[in-house]
Amino acid sequence: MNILFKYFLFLFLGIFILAFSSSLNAQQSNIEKRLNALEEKNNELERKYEDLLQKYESLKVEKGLIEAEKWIEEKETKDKQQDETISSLSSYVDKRIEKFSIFPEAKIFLSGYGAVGFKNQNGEPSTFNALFAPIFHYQHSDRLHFLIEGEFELEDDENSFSLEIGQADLFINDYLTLVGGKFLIPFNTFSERTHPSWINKMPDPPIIYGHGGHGEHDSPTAGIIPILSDIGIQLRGGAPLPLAKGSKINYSFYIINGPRAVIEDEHAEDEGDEHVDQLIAAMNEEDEHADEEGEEHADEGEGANVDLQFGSNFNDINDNKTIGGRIGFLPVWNVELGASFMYGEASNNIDFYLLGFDGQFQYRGLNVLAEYIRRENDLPGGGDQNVDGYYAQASYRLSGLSFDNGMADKIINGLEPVVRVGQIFQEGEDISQVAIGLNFWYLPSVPFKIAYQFNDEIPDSFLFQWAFGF
Amino acid sequence: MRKINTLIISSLIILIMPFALPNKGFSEEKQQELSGSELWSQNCGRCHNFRGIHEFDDAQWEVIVSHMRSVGNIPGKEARAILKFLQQGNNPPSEPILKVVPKKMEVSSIGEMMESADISKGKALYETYCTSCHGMSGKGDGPAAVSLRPKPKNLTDSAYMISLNDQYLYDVINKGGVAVGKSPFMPGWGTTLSDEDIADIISYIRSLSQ
Repeated sequence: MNILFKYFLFLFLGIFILAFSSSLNAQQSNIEKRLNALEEKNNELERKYEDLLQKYESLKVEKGLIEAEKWIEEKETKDKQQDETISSLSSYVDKRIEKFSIFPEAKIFLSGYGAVGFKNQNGEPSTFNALFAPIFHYQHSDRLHFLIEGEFELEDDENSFSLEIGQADLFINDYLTLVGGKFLIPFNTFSERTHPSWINKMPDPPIIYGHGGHGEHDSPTAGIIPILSDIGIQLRGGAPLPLAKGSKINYSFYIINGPRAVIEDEHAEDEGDEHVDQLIAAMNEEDEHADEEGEEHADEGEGANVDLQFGSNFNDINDNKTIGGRIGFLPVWNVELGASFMYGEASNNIDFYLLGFDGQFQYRGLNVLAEYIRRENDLPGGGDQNVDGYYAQASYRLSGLSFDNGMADKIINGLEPVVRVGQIFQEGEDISQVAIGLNFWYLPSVPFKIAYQFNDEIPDSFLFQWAFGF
Repeated sequence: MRKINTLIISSLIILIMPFALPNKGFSEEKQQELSGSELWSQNCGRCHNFRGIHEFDDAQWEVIVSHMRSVGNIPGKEARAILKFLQQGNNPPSEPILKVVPKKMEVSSIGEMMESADISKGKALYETYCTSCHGMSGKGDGPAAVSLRPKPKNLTDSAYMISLNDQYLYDVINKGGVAVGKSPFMPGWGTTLSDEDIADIISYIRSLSQ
């Protein structure tokens, strides 16, 4: 029994163990399967997670890029504005430094003009000529202005530099300006306004303006007066008139050193300077025998002429000063009529006076100028020396013509025909001139001029000039 | 002779002395106020040709006008008006941080602006700023036109004006001729005129060619 019981027990245990182990195996297999499944799922989830993570990262990057770009753009705009402000400030500061930061309102400006010309006068060698006149402006403030004009002049075989203008302008009020120094004299208008080569519509001055200090030395005659400048003081200004649009009055009054009188005696070559000295001595009463000899020499003084030299009396050689003035009247803006006078006692006790009238008319392209000058002065031997003359000039700018051709229109619109007539009336010799010219304005301040002068008593001339103003 | 000279001198002194007093002189009340543009055209072309406004900057114009005030005997008030005209015509301004630049309108809004433009106001502005070159009639025959090359356009030419749109006219008035490839003598008025002013002027200009 015991053996059988033990046998069945062992059998039962065996079967139980087998069953249990196979159950275990089965469970383990299930667990493994489930584990595998879970593992797979886990892996899948991990993959999904990775994908999502990548997507998230890429979205983050994308958003960051956009924001970064915006930020960069805004920064660049701000930087640009800052740069512009700095540049503008820097430019402003540079300009202030450049124009004397010590006087913030002060300004310096360089202008001027020049010309190169060609002249062929009958009976004389043809020649080129040139001049250059720089003008330095220094404006201290809106009330005070300084002006210096020098001139490089070439004549014969010499070149020279001279001070043509050195003046200060003080604007006392809207109607009055005080001028001091060496200035162009407001006698008529050519000297003061229209003599610069880029403004003058002919290559040379009008016949009544002769040689003399201001570079326009192509005048064929001595003229009545040169282009006038002198040292002194002046009050000038202008005021509107209640007549019409643009009507005005302008005025100038000055006191200057005045001219020196050089006596030219026709007998001087025969008798040397003795005769002239005697004349001068008699006039100045330096000679005790003046009363006896004066009249005798006075008769002999007939034929002596006086040359009034303006603009070269830098240290006045006598106490006598010269006074003068001009009044201009503009009934309307494009018409001006002026009257000028000058009176003084030059050296060698020569009294003189100048009387002048000027007129200007402008209508569209037409410009008309005219001047009259009369000069009277004492003569050493008694009597007066009188000379007077005039010029009239008309020019017409062809800017109104059009041929519907760009290049042709440009050339034609720059053309300006000019005609000028003039006469000098003096004892023994009247001089007449008719000049015709044609200008081409390459720029408003750069003309090319050609002209031909038909003259009486002096040779005809052909003139060319290329002038520039800057 | 000496008595006559004394008389002349005395007369001149009596004539000039009133002006030595601070800003006393002839009454300006009876005279119509002239614009800087008109004063420029009346004074600055009488002796020499007009110079281009852009040829000099604002500081240089200040010195030049000061010199011309003395040489040309131009009253101070007129000289200041001329200087202001020249400096305003310089566009862009030479010192932008010192000036207030009016806000400029977008391209799309010019049409709207033109709808509310005032032609009578445009006429007044045109006569103030434009007649010196373009003339009262708009035919390009103003006093300053004589020495300008090319000449100012004939604004009464309907065929020409039809070919230009409002934006173009706005640009040339606002920025000047150089900005649209035209003459540098045409100044830009953008720092002086508002958009409404420019629209008013355009409406008046259009009426000249109708």
